[in-house]
Amino acid sequence: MIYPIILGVLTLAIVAALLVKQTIIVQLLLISLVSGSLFAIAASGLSLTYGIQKVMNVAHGDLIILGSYLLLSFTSLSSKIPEINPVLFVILTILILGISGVFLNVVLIEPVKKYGFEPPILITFGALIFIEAVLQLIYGGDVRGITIAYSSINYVVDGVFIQYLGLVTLVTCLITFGLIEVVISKTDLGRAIRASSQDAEAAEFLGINVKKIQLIAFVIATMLAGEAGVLYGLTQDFTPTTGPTILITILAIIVLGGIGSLSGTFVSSMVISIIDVVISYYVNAGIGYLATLIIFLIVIVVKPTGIFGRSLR
Amino acid sequence: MLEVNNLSAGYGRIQVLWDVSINVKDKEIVALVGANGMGKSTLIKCIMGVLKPKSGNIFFNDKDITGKAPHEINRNGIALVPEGRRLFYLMTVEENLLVGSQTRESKENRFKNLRKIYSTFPELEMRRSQLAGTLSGGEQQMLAIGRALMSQPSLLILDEPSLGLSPKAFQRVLSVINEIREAGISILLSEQSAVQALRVADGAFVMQSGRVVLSGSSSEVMSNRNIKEAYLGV
Amino acid sequence: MEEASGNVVVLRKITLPNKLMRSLPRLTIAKFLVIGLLTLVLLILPTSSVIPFPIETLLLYFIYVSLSTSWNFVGGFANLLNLGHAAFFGIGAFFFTIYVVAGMPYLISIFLGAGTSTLFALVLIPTFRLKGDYFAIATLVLPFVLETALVYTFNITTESLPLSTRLSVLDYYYMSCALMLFSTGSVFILLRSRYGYALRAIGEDEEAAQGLGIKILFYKSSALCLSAFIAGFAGVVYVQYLTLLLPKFMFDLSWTLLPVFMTLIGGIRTQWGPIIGAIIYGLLSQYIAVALPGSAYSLVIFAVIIILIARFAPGGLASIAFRFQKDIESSQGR
Repeated sequence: MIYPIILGVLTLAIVAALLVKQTIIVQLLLISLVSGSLFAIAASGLSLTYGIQKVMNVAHGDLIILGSYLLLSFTSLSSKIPEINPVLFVILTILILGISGVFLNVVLIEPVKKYGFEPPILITFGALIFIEAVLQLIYGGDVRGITIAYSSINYVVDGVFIQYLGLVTLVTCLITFGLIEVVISKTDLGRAIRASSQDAEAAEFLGINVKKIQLIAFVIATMLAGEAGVLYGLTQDFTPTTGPTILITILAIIVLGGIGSLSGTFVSSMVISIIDVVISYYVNAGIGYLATLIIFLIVIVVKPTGIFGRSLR
Repeated sequence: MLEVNNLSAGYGRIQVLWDVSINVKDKEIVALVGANGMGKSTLIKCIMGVLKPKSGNIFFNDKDITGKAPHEINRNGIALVPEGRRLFYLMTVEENLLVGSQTRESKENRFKNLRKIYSTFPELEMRRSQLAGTLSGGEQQMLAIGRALMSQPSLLILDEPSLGLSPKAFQRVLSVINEIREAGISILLSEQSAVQALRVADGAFVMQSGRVVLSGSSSEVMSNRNIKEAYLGV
Repeated sequence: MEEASGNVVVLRKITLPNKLMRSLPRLTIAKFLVIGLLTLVLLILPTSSVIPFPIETLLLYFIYVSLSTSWNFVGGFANLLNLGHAAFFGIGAFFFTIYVVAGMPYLISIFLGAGTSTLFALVLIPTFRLKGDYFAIATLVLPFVLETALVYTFNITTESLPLSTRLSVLDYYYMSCALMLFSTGSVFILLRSRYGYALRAIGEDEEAAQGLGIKILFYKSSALCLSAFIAGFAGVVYVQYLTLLLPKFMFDLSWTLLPVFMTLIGGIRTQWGPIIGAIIYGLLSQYIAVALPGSAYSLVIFAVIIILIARFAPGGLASIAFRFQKDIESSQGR
């Protein structure tokens, strides 16, 4: 697996930088690591959907931010009913996203796939606008953030600053990717998913209900979006317009890493995070974002299949 | 076991099958013979549920399976070895075989079936961890057959297995077909190579221009004068 | 009965009902006269102080028609799903402002603004070889890229247009009217020419068109350039009407959403579709503005409508009529 290699490299870099007392580099690397983990989870859902169904769900970014807003509402509820375990809210958010996934796939997307690629993209485009507009209506355009008891826990090591929630993000990412990898490569469901994406008709001939498999994959993807939304909400500020912003970063990650390649998503998420963080620090936050966009455009034109070109197909 | 009654089907306004009727009995090997474009593939598509016929019906073990979804047809006991094999080339040999067993029953017997298939096709066992795309044509055909068998069908349909195969490899396929029949599975063999198919089959249906023009036991068909001229070059 | 589709595999891609367009109706003299008359009405009436004429409403309407017609030309007929139309609109507005503030002559600035947008369309040529949905997401990103890049490079968040360039609302009305006539006219005429047939062939089946020797690159890029020119010009007119440049607003997603919405509702891949759609949008938005104040409400409703149309009538309202026709045909056993 490629993840240990990447992590090993990054850890070495951090340790080396620590030894040389380059606090800034360590700090930047740590921030990149956390940010990379967050966006890797965010991107994995979209990569999964496109790899399996060939449907580009452009509403994915907004689904993530929907998760953030849901958690926001739940946590403000919990302040009135303190007995409820906050983990329940996380699970609830992810479940709600999963249910939306069922609705989105069964009612809206699946019936029009046979008309070509246009209707699904138009539908998800409509969904993108819809979610953003609804969130705007309900929550307004102010910047929001979620603060819980854990938000203020920080560790400082040698002048380097790590948020507790940042560590949580990192660990969650590793566990999530590990789980997905295991499911995809070792379970019946994973094999059925891979087979369906490589040759749907042949899979049907073997008794695989491809539509059901695609639905399952889609629901997993939206739940991943929920997970990303939870983590994003806990660690970043957001507004209803953050959805498209996230989408663009995810697109850059997926296109660079190769659609359908999970390890590619992880690696390119780290790469793009490092580039973004470093540029944002030394130049300007807007330029960091711009760099991400430019990477996306260059890669999509030059090598649309990405670095790890192999697809789940 | 399999009864196709008066099937008419086509694509849009173009009709391809005209009132086609065939049947496969228990433990029978039936050959479906005819040149390309004569409707064999279309008929198989109808049986497997990929194409909905315009009229007629298909019964399998007295159950009406006309127009059902392909995966349901497989779960009813019909497995297809598709034309061109259609393996999952980015998965290993063993993974391809494992994917074949999707129902509860076939999963229970999964490893037993796997061992049976490996003993029938030792070359597959040798290459069990190799990607399916790296196999030779003959090996791929064996894998495709093995994969279909993993679903524990009672009827196995082979669509043009000779395509892309050396004569020797095709002979191997034909002998395997006999073994499969011995194991109690019926076979529907759709083939361009009429002679070979007829030799191994019990009964045959000859298709021309979307119709069944001749049917009977394979020896009857082989000795038919028209067939001899058209197909056997006699 | 075209029941060729199984549950998963489609043996033939079901094409969107564009058979309505197989043969475009002829442009007869009578039609020219009618259009000429309408044009005269549109041009003269506003100057009359007796008849109340909704100049500003029509000004906006003409801009919407230009945007949706230009979008449909590429997105509908050529089948290039451009989800970044706002980019062209924004570039026109942005660069016009830049040129005018830098002191360039007014007329030149107008055409250079639209011209910059056209040039930008040329820059997009490398994306043509992308598959449909990749192209869609590439274009989706464009307005965001441009907004960020331009705002940073020129250090502008808002910019007022210099007083010297300010004209009356009536003048802007004439400008947008001219633009609307140009865009609809050019699209109508082009579609009936050899150029138009080639373009539609590309839209229906690109591989087949290529096999016939049609130079795909030429048609796609020229169509996109025309589309960009019109949209850019629309941006030029609009920013003058506002007398203020707000990059965030000019590159906003809604300038892509609205033309798409209008085209979908009116009928994608038809010539009257965008125009009808713009009318429907105009009426709808007026109604919503009165019934449910607040811009977010209208976006919600339009988004829902887009979803419903894409889901149930992928060819626009026109296709529902076509479906009835087809049902009648098949029940008659044809």
